[in-house]
Amino acid sequence: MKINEMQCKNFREIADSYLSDELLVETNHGVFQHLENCENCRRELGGRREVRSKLRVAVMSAPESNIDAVFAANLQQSLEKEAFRTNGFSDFFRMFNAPKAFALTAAALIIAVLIGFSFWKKPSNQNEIAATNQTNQNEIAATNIYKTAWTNLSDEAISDHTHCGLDKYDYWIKNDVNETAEEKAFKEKVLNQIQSETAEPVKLVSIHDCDIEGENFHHAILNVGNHVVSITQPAMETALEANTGISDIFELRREDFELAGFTDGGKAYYVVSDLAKDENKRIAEIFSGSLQVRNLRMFRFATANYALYTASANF
Amino acid sequence: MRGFGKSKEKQWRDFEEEAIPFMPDLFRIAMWLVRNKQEAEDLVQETFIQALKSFHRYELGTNCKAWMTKIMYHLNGKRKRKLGQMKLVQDTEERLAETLVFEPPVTQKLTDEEVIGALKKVPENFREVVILADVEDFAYKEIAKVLDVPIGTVMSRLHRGRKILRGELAVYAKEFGINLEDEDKRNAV
Repeated sequence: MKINEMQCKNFREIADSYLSDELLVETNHGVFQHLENCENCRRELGGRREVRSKLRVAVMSAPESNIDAVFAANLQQSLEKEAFRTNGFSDFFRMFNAPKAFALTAAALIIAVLIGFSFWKKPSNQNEIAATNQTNQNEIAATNIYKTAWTNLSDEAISDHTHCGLDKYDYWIKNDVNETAEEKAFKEKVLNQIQSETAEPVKLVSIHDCDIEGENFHHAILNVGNHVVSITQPAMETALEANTGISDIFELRREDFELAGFTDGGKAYYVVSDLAKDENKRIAEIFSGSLQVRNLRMFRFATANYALYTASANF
Repeated sequence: MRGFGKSKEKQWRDFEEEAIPFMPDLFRIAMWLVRNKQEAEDLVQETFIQALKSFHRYELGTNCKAWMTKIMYHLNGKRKRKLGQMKLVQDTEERLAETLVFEPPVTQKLTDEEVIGALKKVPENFREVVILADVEDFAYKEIAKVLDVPIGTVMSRLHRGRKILRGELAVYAKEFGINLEDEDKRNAV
């Protein structure tokens, strides 16, 4: 009797796996043998099988589970319109399937040709005006190239903010408790400046490396009031030359987040949050200014020492 | 093959073929997530818009339903965070582990209404795994990706969720006076 009870208990533990066909062949044989001699467990198995089958049928056929046909048709129509809507620069690159570096180079060449052509056409007595115009156009063209390079990695920045900054916030609050020297420097050069410009309490939660679906990021998480703010730097390089220096601040709004940031040679930096646009931008400006301070090099993957102060977390 | 670099027409045709057919499935999952028709429609709409924007990242021929369900859970998580509705999971699981000891016998006379009613009483974190596995037929690995939890957690929640569902169904059986011993006697006559 004792053996049978134990066997019944064991059977109940694995009955669901048996129904899902997840057991090893030998275990299945053991199940068959037990069921031959145990009416209770046969009944139990039958009941579980019915629950599973009924569950699927009941949920699928419940009236509340059925999508409204008009809603579905309207949504499909809207999606089709959206699919054919032009989306500017990023659409241009996707259409021609160009690797980002090649596409940026091509765009730069086209802009350079257009600028050169417009300069060529000016009469000689307007050279002074033309030179000024050319300088302005060159600057605009360069800014556009930097902005494109920065925009191209913005989806990745949002991914880091949502999957790490927001979804793993509780983990970082609990686990990143020991302040490193670099976190202390960050507080002095960046956090204190932000705090001086807002009445909201500002706090550094963590600086670490993270891996989101195979993409690496260097990531700082801040609290500004009850807002979570990410300063993130994807490991992916932009197509810009390493010596191009720090660009102007660029801004974007995407998926209910404000993004502001800049490029610095081959790197792109992002401040991502749900703060007001000007507040988010101001943090980017403060951070950009701080990167020009020599001892604040933590946000450069090329720095040999970065492994000393980062905490890697792969999710 | 990724969708990057194809013409708009080709991208739309691929999206129409791969993603659009799952609109009813996504709505069904959304209804169990948010329990409100209007919110479910909003969530499905947001999901499809996001899926369209991200379709260049989707590998054609892989499980599009699982990919879109992950997007939907991500969007729903954002919505709940905004409304301050996120709550810890561990607390619920620990309390349930303390209370779930007795495994009641399963009645074999079940109506759709009883099953749905019992399912609604299963706590959300367990119910969503039961639905994704036993109704929507996702593999453990796919559920783990959708919910962003380890596979072990999926299996544990599924095991407990099914157990709780059976427990709720046994309560229904008692309330309607169905008893296994009585059934046996009736069948014997």
